[in-house]
Amino acid sequence: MENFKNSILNKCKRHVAPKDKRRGITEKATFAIAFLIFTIYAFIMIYMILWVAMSSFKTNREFYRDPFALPAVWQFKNYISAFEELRFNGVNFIGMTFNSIWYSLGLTVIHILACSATGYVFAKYEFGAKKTMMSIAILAMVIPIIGSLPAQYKLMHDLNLVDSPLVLVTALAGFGMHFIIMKSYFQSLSWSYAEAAFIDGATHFGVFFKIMLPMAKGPALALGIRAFIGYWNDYYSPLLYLDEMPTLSTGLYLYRLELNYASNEPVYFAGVVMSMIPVFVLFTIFSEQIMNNVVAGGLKG
Amino acid sequence: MQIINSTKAASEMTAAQTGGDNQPQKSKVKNRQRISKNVFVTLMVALPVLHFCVFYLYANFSSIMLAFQRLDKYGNYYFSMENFGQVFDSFASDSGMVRQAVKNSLIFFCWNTFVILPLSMFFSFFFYKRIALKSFFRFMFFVPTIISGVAVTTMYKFMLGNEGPVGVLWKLVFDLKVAPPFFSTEEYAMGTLLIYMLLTGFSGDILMIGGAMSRIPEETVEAAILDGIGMWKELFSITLPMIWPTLSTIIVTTAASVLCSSGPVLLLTAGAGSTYDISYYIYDKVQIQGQYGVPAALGLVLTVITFPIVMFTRWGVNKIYNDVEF
Repeated sequence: MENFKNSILNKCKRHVAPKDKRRGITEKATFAIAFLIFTIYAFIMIYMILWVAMSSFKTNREFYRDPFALPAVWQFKNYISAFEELRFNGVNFIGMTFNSIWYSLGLTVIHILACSATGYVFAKYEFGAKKTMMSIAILAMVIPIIGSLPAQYKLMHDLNLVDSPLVLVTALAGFGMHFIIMKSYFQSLSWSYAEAAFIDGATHFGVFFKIMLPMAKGPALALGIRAFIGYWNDYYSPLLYLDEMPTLSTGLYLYRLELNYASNEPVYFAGVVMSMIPVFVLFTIFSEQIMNNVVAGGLKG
Repeated sequence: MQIINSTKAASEMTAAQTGGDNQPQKSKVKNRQRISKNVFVTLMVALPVLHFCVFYLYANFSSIMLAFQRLDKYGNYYFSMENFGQVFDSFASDSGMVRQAVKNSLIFFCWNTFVILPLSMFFSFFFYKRIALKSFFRFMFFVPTIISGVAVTTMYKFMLGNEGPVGVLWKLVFDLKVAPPFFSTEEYAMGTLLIYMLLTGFSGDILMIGGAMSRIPEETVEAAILDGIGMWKELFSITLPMIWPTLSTIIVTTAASVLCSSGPVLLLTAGAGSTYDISYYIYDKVQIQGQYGVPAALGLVLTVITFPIVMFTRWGVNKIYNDVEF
């Protein structure tokens, strides 16, 4: 009886103790190994970033003579030179930044609105073709479409969407993983707010834009920031469809490809560092929202 | 069902305001409600549906057509099976590019599914169990996603270059004058790509899996801990079944991209050292060589082959654990 009482007391003690105090030796060892792996990984990432940042303050000669040494004189002018030297197809660094902004922001806003609209309608409304459309949407996600690039490329040219801001219409895709996430979120929202608004004379659009969409701003913002970062860093689509309007990603890639050995590496690195800053800042500010608001459910139907 | 109740409530309210038992008035209101609901639903889904029809249905239909078309010397299209012939010839030949591209894509897929995904799950579990410096490490795993692929590949290339730390270390260890060409020879290029994928491939999975783990009710885990459950038992008997809907979604969508899994071939090797995959092969044919028929035929053949594999995977993952509501 005493043993049983002690064991219950021990269990209760374990229950209230902080998590790491409850771990046994094997678990602690496992955590130590994981901590070591994570530390090595973090070191590699920080080293790569710091090395590029440090190299961006060197002269070209210094960079090749001793790539690991600190700059003898910190060349802040490399950052000014980047604005003049880094250009592709007649578009300079400022032009590339402008292209990156409208491309990433436009695609993000349109895509998240499209997914929120479809997600909301599929979560809260009953209509004739709902089940069929849902099945098609899921089927489209799991059918492994390979090699539709030639047709897509031809289609984009035929519709005159290439080298034009009209390329943003490609973001109207309202079915996909983001649709599933938004639909799950809208399903979890209570309908009583909408009912109250309807009784007060609100329209369906009013309920969506003034009540439901603001309530879903957590996941919408999280998905939006992730999408923005993805579009900002995307080089593949702009490479195919925005040759005359290079974004920072494609511009820097093509600049390097074109000049190769003739290029001034530290100035190029200065451009790379500047291209990273906006998304780094954005992610640092919203990292908790991004981490805590993304959950994907199973694919059924 | 919810909308039906609400429109009913709203229409009753309106009917009450306008004189309750007036049946034609009531039915007019109901009709107006139904019409406004239908207009709303139609407008909300119209553009995404149109997008789906043009960029998915039409594009894929057009892709099938392209696979069966060839250009004659006058620039006119004619029906032909020659594209398929070229695809099968290239696949049958030991040195065929298609065979190499399929093989590399399968390697990338397996690497993603059997190495990166399980590691992501373990790493997410450590974050979930609040490993020391959790937020910092989680942020570091996200760095490759935050930074442009162009920037990360630039850094990676310089790290492995002749003057980079890995290059210098390699020269010291193996007593070489010049670092090996990590990105252009068959001996090293594939390994270099796989290590790059490992370094940069965790973030998306960690985000999804971590999100699912954070939703597991704490009382479930606490009850199990009171019963004396260990960490590994908790992972495999509680956490894994409860996050299975998310994990199965990731597995199915990864399987759907079985042969279009694209490694960072374009930015790192541009196909050198026999590293081109299906994605790069198609990009090269379309963008560089301006050929549409052969890549479209290749895509069609691979879609037909992989579709049953995806369906089987989906059926399989749904059998492993039942979905848990919590």
